[in-house]
Amino acid sequence: MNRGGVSSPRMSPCQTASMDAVVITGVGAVTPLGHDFSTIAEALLAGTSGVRQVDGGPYCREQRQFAAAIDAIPVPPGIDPATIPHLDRLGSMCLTPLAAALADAGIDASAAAAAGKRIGLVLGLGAEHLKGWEADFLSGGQRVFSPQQAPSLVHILAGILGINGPAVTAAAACASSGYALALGRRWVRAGLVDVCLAGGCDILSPTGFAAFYNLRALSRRGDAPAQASRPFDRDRDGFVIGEGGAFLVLERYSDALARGVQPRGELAGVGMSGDASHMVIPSPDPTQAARAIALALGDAGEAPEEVDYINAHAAGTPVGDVAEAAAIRLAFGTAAERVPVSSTKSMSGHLLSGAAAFEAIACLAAIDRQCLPPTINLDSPDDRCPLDHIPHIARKRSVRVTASNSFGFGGANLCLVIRRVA
Amino acid sequence: MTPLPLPFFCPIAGHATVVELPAAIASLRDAPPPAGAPSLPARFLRHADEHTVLGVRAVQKAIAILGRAPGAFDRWAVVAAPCGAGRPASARTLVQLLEGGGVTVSPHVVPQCSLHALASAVSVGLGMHGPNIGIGGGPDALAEGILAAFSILEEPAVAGCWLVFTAWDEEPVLSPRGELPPDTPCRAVALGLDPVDCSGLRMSLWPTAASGKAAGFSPAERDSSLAAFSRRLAGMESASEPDRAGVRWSLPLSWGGLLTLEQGVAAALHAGRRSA
Repeated sequence: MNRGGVSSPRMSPCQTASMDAVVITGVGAVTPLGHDFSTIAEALLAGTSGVRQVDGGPYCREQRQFAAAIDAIPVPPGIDPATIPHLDRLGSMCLTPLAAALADAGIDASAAAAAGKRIGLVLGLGAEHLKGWEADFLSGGQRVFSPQQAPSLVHILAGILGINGPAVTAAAACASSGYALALGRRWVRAGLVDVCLAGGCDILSPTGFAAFYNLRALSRRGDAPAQASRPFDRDRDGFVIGEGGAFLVLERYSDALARGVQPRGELAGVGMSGDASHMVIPSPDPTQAARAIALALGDAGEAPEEVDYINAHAAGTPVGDVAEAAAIRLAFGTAAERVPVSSTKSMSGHLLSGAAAFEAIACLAAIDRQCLPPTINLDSPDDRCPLDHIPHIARKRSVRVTASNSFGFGGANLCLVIRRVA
Repeated sequence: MTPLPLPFFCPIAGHATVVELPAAIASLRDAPPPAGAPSLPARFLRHADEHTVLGVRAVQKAIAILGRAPGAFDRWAVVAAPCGAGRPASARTLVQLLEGGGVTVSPHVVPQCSLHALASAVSVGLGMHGPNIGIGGGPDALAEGILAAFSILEEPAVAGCWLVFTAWDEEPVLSPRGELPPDTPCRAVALGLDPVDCSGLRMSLWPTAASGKAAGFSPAERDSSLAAFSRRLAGMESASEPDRAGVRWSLPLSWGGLLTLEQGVAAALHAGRRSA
């Protein structure tokens, strides 16, 4: 088959996944832990913290503001910035990892489109307009008062990248990029697209900082930023806000094989549910969160005891971590005693709309390195979170099946099962 | 060339439209539900954006019209596609931030003014345990929402889907304090998409070979506004029986698909979630 515009970055035979399986052939990221797959994998397995003190600006709520921040967004690979429309910081935070994901997959979108392939884009992003209005207003603009509607960022990005298929923005609070991956996988399975870019991103902003601070959702350990994000720890006091973008390239396994590409993994299962409980607080009843996990495992055809690693949503909030531990125990039953669990938010901070896609990359890293990333700062595990934790130090292990949980405001529950191919 | 996928179809079991001015929207925050509709938790909408108040009301009204038993929508998904939601509250938040600093920022701005707010409010307020997703947010929200709803309906665990759209009929100019002009109508349309209901109205997505298909359609047919969609939906309801089959809404998509809403489709086409 002629796959115009497509090269073969990773060649090796794969036999086990079904030809219809949706596989991950490209990864692109801009994160507090690095901007490419290898750097991120090494940082995660080394237990590196991306959290540090930042300049919170004039609207800061604390003397010592801290976050998992990104200083400079790299130039998008293969794109001359002079040839594209001006993008604000949010746009750049999306464009660079999107372009990097395509490059990692060996796909030139325009050439692939010319060869008759349809490429789609699902952008997980919860507050595009608020952040756009905010950036404009704080630099003296008046857009928020104006009836003039700008095109959505997803369509601007699609135009820049030469995406010729459907493009939508999807939001499910802190699970946004996971829902984007779920939609992208469905498009590939339904044949609506041949390739789908899906993921999400977020940026730090004064209103974001202040709103989460005033909600008492953020850690207040300003004296020790790198120790502030401590999921499952008895002394956790909230999450650490972060920023970044993470996107995956999804396509059918048969298509990846046809162009000689070794997938990084298979997006083998998706489970979604709603708590229908509260607009902000996770439900103390774990039934619906556990149902999302069970649906994902069922979709992947994997039993709980087959799972080698759970990347928990656990952001480090007092209520959320306990609720998730209960959901894992309900979904996994007795297997919960033996399935290792960690929260990489202890290192990356909480990337909000980008979190789920970043944590899918953490699962791919575990599969690639056959080693599980730890939860750093987990000095004293909370008795109410009785799980097989991986405190401080990465754990070597054979890794075939991973599950990644994401939960968001409004009771948005999601679990992705990501599996080794071959 | 990659073969085209099969078209997507889904019957609309019931629908409702609500159009109100800002003052009336404010009074809906604490209003009792429409007769036959489920109630919301007490003071549930007190911090909600105008679009959320109206979108939730449209779903309540559609539930009342459908008249199904309590719990009938337990496994339904919610796909909400607002256009321009959250702007007044964002403007007020930003003005206050500038004047009083971060301490003035309401913690409700994130859960109540983001793209996900309406979907989560419908799910939480009306007790739906399927996935809830905010889609679009901008001028293409209508098409993005329909596409996302079709995608969600492909999930085996999803029994049906509330597809909710909201938009100002004309985007308002806000005052320097972020206040709405009093004469700006906001519109919400709720569609109950039920793969096993055959009441007659049907939404379809026809994938086509290439982009640029909009060229064969008149400007009126390329009108992607919620007001235009809502008018055509009302026209289908009011058309006399022999004329209904000829009344149709369609929207060509920039990437090559075609969305349609039509009446009088043979029941055989409703079988299953997708059929050729």
